[in-house]
Amino acid sequence: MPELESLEDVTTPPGTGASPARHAAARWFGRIAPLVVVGAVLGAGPSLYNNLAFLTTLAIYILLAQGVNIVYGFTGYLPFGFVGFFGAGIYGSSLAIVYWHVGGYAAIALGALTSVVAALILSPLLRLSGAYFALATLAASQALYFIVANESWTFGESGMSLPLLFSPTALYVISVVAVVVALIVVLYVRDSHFGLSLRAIRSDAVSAAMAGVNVVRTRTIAWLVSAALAGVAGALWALMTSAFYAETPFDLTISVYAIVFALFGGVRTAVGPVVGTVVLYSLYQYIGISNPQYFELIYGLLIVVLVLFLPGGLTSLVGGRGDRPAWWNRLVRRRAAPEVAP
Amino acid sequence: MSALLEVRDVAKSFGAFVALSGVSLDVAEGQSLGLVGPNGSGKTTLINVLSGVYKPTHGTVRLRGRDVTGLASHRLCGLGMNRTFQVPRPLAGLTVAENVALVRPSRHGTADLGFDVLEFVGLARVAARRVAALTSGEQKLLDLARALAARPDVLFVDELGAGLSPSELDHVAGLLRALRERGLALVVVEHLMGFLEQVVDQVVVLNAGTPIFAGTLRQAIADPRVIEIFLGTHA
Ligand SMILES: Nc1ncnc2c1ncn2[C@@H]1O[C@H](COP(=O)(O)OP(=O)(O)OP(=O)(O)O)[C@@H](O)[C@H]1O
Ligand SMILES: [Mg+2]
Repeated sequence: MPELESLEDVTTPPGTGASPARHAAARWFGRIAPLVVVGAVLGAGPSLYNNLAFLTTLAIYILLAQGVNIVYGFTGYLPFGFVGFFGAGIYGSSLAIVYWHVGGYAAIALGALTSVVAALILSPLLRLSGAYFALATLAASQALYFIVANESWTFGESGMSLPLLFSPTALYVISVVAVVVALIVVLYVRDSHFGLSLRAIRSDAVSAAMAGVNVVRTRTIAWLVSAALAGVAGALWALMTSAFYAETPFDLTISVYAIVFALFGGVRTAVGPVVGTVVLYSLYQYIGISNPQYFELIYGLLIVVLVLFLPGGLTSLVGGRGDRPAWWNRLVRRRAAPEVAP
Repeated sequence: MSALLEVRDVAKSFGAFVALSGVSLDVAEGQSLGLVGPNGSGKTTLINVLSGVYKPTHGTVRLRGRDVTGLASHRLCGLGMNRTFQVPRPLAGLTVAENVALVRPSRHGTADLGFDVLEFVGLARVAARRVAALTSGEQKLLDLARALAARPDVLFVDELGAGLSPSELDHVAGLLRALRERGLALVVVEHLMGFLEQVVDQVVVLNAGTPIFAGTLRQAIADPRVIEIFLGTHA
């Protein structure tokens, strides 16, 4: 494992005017503010909309979208079978509860561990490129589904049934904490040398290696971290649902939603996937459950619109000028930030 | 005294095509060696093999006596070996400053150049820019800065001069001379003889993947075999 390093700044260019102290302060504000805002908004959730099952599921989707953010946003690998890690987390935690009678927190940890082990086994897939990788993860997740759905020790026929280990309120609080921890992880990935290495690999793996980046190790770590997030999400889902068959945990629409939520909000940012999930999953709650066919249509259109007009996601509209789409810059006509002096 | 870099009987094939065979050469500490040869003679392939982009099909490479044959690029970078790319490959998603900040200096390399690499190559004023906003000449300089940030003991430079304006060429030749004065070993691939003359003392001439001459640049220009392969390809 690489030495964990402090969140040093590798992005701020020298000589941009403001004093180093002001820079450092702004940087820390930029990191702490999202944590506080996201924690506060989700914390206030139940008083805005008193439906804990919805809110907990929202938090679970945020975790999945952050997992997609790390593996797709930072490494460029699109994991269609990402739901497999969610399912691994669900069954890892559930089986630990059923067979070993572990407590709720241990179940969450074991759910994450199960997904990480699955990711480690699948890590050779990172040698594949583009569509092959996407399809291979899909196949792997479906293979896992077939095992789980057909074995008796996984209760494939009878269905899983778990004791209630947390009250709905407690589970929601734990989910919000998990979302905040995931946000810290993504902020670390965004701002650290590790994150810079991931972006470098995504840009040009040969050149990144010449800059001293261990390409295989760095990619694998990102892959394991994203699997761990999906594993935690799965464990939380198991604890919330407590009775289920294998169909739901491995439902491919979960992968699709997580990917769309992340892209819609903006990958490679910390809050993008949070914003994307909150907006789209609320929309789903509002119109999708009663009229699922409209919702699928909206999603289809959304993907097209995103790819064409908003490749950086919703949060790119408020990001640096360079990240904003040209049509938006024309529309808003903000005065251009002064270029660096010649 | 063994050389800093020893290449022994290296070969590299792509399928049935033999791109390199029987390549042996030494680079001494602080030496500046030219590597010349007609198009397709294997110069870039040799750099790719020595920098871990390709594994050689045969032969050994030693750095300070240590066998480094077939090591991955990031390991070689850490051991003090680095290169530029013929078609520069700066990391396009990153800013200029990030391209350099990415690099962790080699632990084994002794060559702490004692300067800021962006200042040195003359890109400090565009540090905040994205790579896409750079001219092609600036991208070449950034490729060089990225390689230097790793504090290599031996640096392979692949046609850094090609496509540069005369003033840019002077600038780059000056940079390479400055590096040589600081004790960095250089292996310079270049077609421009006037440029090469300013930065190297010895040359190796490659033809069809095999060295056919080693000596000074002056001797090379007068050597009948060298004249033949160059005139042969131009005829
Ligand atoms: N990856 C590869 N696969 C197959 N053939 C290759 C590969 N890389 C290089 N070659 C072949 O190896 C030979 C040597 O190429 P190389 O690029 O090393 O030449 P060079 O001396 O650098 O030429 P130039 O002066 O044009 O840059 C060429 O015939 C080239 O087509
Ligand atoms: Mg070449």
